[in-house]
Amino acid sequence: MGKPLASAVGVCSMCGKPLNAKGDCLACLLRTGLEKTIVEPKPAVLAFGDFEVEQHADGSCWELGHGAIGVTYLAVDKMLRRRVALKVIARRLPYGTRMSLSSSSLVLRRMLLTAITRWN
Amino acid sequence: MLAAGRSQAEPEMVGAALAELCQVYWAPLYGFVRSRGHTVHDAQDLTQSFFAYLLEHKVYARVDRRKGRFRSFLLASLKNFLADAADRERTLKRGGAQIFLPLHEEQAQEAESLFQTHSGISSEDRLFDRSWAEALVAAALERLSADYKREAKEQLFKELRIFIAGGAEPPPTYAELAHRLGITESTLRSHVTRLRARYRDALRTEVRRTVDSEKQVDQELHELLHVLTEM
Repeated sequence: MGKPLASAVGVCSMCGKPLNAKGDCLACLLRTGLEKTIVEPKPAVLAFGDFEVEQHADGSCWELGHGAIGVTYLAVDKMLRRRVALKVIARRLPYGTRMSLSSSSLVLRRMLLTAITRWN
Repeated sequence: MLAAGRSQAEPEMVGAALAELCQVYWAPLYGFVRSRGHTVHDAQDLTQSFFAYLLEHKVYARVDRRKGRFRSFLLASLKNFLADAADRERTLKRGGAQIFLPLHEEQAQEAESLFQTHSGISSEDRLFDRSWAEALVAAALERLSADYKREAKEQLFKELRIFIAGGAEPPPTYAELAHRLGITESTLRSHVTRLRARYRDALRTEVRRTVDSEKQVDQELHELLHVLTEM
């Protein structure tokens, strides 16, 4: 892995690769040429209450990251009409994690409150 | 272009195809010459002379169908050409050759700018491949942009371009953009899908001009993607 190109004006928000001098992602542009079928993205399939998970242009859910206890998605808060990072706790917690139903709900509420941050 | 070069195509057709080729792949070849330490003007002269040499000696007709891609062929030809540069300069100085190819100043400036931004790449072959990839996608995007313009949908192309070209900022949500464009989300999704499909076809058409089969189009795209991930 070489050093980042001097031409890179940032990284692509969709794949994380360096952008070229025009601000385009060469990797995304080349990858599209390899797509066998271009499927029309369907309306959001994942929603949590007032939060609707965003989709990539190919229709896949927009995941920002994932860890042992859950997945963080880019979502839209339909009430406040703004983008948020939404952390969703996995139903099955990792082995050894003890949590009662009530404490699980509490953690979920707290995590939602802390994880929902303004995206832009 | 490959097919035209190998068949007994009309000389005008080959000439026109090569002139177009000069436009699209001038920058990667120029960048390679610059990476060999030539000055801006010498690199311009040498790149022009190389294309004149290709035309004059019909080197393009020697592309071997079995030996792979036009990209590799051009690079190998350029390396051979540069190895004999001292001799060739005496006979093929710009304007001195039998075939004269005009050099557009804007094209030359863009190529130099591209070379400067990629000058950190240590391998000259990698720099060439990277510039080649840039030239390919630029040609496909330009073709697509011209098509949208012809259909009086230039603004739509500008708004949706981010869905294929990416960018530092995430694309707007479908809801936001649909509201801004005054169309339904469903219509917007169809527009994005069509744009992606049309871009994919434009890119594959561009690659197809330099290889022999659809399978090689995939191989070429995979190889160029690999070059990017190696950097």
